[in-house]
Amino acid sequence: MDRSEPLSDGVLPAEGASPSAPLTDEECARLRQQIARSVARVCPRWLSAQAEDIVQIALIRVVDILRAREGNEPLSASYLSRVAYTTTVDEIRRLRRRREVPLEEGAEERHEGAGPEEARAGSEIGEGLRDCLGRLAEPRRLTVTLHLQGHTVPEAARLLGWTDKRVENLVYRGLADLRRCLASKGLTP
Amino acid sequence: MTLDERDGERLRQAFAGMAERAVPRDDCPRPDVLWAAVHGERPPDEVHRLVAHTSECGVCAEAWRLARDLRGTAAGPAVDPATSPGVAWWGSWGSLAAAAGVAALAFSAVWPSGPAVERAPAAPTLRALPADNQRLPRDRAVLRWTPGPPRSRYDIQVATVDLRILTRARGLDVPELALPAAALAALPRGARFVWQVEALLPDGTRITSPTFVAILE
Repeated sequence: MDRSEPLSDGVLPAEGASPSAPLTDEECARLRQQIARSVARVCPRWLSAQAEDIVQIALIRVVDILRAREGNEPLSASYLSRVAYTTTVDEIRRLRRRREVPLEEGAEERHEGAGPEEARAGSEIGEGLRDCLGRLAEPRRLTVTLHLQGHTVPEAARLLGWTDKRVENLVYRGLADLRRCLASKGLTP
Repeated sequence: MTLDERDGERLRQAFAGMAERAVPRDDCPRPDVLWAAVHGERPPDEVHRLVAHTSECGVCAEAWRLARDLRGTAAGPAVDPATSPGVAWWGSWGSLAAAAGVAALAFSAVWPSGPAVERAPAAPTLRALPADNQRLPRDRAVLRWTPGPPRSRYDIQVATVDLRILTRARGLDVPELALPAAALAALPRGARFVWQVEALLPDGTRITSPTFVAILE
């Protein structure tokens, strides 16, 4: 796991002094519980077997950060969530890179109740979708991608720095293009 | 749900399914960059590049969704200062022995122990053999501990006094671990390190040892 990435880039709030006494056993346990809650929120179901490892690595990162910092600012809950998130994504990448995740396991999760045929069809659609997304004009590709990621029009507009109206039009036209492209490949998700 | 909504949901599922067989690329952005983008902490032109990347990289698309799902839940109140560690406890290490003691304390929190288990009074305890604080030769560094009942399995992790993991092993069927030379390569002579064992007994009970300290010769 990449431990070299900067995790502390100014997001730690200075909200008062924290205890100057050595960390007690109970305080360590509470910190671990807070991280475990964050990991539980972010960790996908297929990764749940690694959740405890992720908590441990995240806790070590937090301890490293505390040691490296100067001053006595407490950590914010959002910062712990961020560390839990980055640690989880690192683990996802590690497993995806090493192909440790059984493909069938992921397929079962995303195609609950579906057989191998449906899972294979889903994979074909995914490939077709990627190709068709790549053929869209960039503004349409960006807005459709955010739409497929579950963002609302106002959210997408805020992220991209465009007006709601523009994003709405781009999503509408982009989805139409996407469906046409998929249909030309014989794919109907 | 309307026909259009069902259609849109199927498209979203298909898009999410792209992650199943995806492999990280060399140009994948760091996770904290994705996090910042989803949380509106990056300028639009950078977000454009990142979203364009997620449109073709299933792994980063999945990471983006995870950050999005966490949004809102992450912006909670600051951790109660009374329960939040500062740096002073690290800076207070006056000696290596004291450092080992603090690390042992923290290490007990690092160990990912499961839920508390009611144990019979006769449950075995795990002790270092021949004793805690033992000196180990670098070329024959073997950690040993008291065994549990037959068919017990052991997980062990070993870390520096500042909690950097040196090595760990899972599912050992003997109560000992020979430390690989590579794991100790960065430690100077006389360095202390900490280790802890968790035993899974045949009846399913889990027992976690205290944190032991060893000294490298």
